[in-house]
Amino acid sequence: MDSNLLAEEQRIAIGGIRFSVELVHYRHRQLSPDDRSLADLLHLVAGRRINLPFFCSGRTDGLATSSFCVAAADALEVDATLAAMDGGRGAGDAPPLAGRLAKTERVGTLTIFPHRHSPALLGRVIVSLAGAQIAIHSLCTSISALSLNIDFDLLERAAATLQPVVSLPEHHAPFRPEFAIRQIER
Amino acid sequence: METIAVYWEPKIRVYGVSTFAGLSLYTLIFPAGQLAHWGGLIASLAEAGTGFRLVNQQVQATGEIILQLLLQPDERHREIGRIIAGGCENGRAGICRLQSPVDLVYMHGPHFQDRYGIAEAAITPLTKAEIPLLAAGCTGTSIYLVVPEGCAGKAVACLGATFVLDGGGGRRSGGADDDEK
Repeated sequence: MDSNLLAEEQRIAIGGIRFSVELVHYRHRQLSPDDRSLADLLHLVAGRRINLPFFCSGRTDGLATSSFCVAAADALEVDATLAAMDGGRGAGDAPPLAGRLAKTERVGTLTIFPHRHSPALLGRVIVSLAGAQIAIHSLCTSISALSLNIDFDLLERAAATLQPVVSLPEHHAPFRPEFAIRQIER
Repeated sequence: METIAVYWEPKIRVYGVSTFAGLSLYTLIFPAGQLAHWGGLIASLAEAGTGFRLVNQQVQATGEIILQLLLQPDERHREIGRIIAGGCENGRAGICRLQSPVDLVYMHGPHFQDRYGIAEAAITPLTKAEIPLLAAGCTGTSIYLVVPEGCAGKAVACLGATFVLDGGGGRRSGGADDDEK
């Protein structure tokens, strides 16, 4: 069989790839079982009407690690919120977020859809990005899509890296955001 | 052109809520340098004919990667367990923890990815009720909340404080969920 045909057969058909706007990625680490600072943080950020287009959380040894993203345009306000949260502590208390938060700027989400619950797609995407030295800051699935947070400047290279893995519709180019939706009131 | 959309909702409406029982949550913890190894191993799970229900991955403060796979246990669970345990290579490539059975609460709703306060509305009620959140994902229009066995009902009751959960859904044990249309 023609090697190109074989390679084509091994690619996994998907509907498309989408890029996000530039994001800022935060990781929160719970320090003790009674540490509720994540809930406090989420409450304050929601109070500022800032959307989290990505959130995931996992637990090891009874303590949660959570990752979330905000639009780069919202990051200053998030940082101000976090600073105010730390500034609200009583004298002698440790800052509520000290040692808990890590921030990564210039992140973008590469979304692959649909994933069809396929371990083959997920595994081969991970292998390809790891092989290309493209770090995955976090990833999570929705019911139909696989969203990977990587460096914003590497979105194009990541999509190119995935070409031997996925088969896209003819003439498909990654979708880029042409407009943003912002909820202004609940 | 600017289009402004406003959701006037004292409580957040959802398209539906479903709970699932009897799932298996695999938590893999491994050095970042082992990512390709685990990616290859996850790809090989396809040969066992299984599909994931939820996957999330993060980098821990230690630099290690935590990857969680929520799977449907069935007649293939021994094979899946064997493949994943084999990937640990006696701990050199990482460690694997299995929690089974666990429950899942799944919700989806309009423009969840564009609206503020959705993650908070999902996480805070469980925190207040001291329901351990074993894994979670809020991306796209989906919310996944993985809780210990027997906790899904209590979780849904708590979520009723922040979401309108009066229609659809139901409790299921296994079965493939429908793709988002």
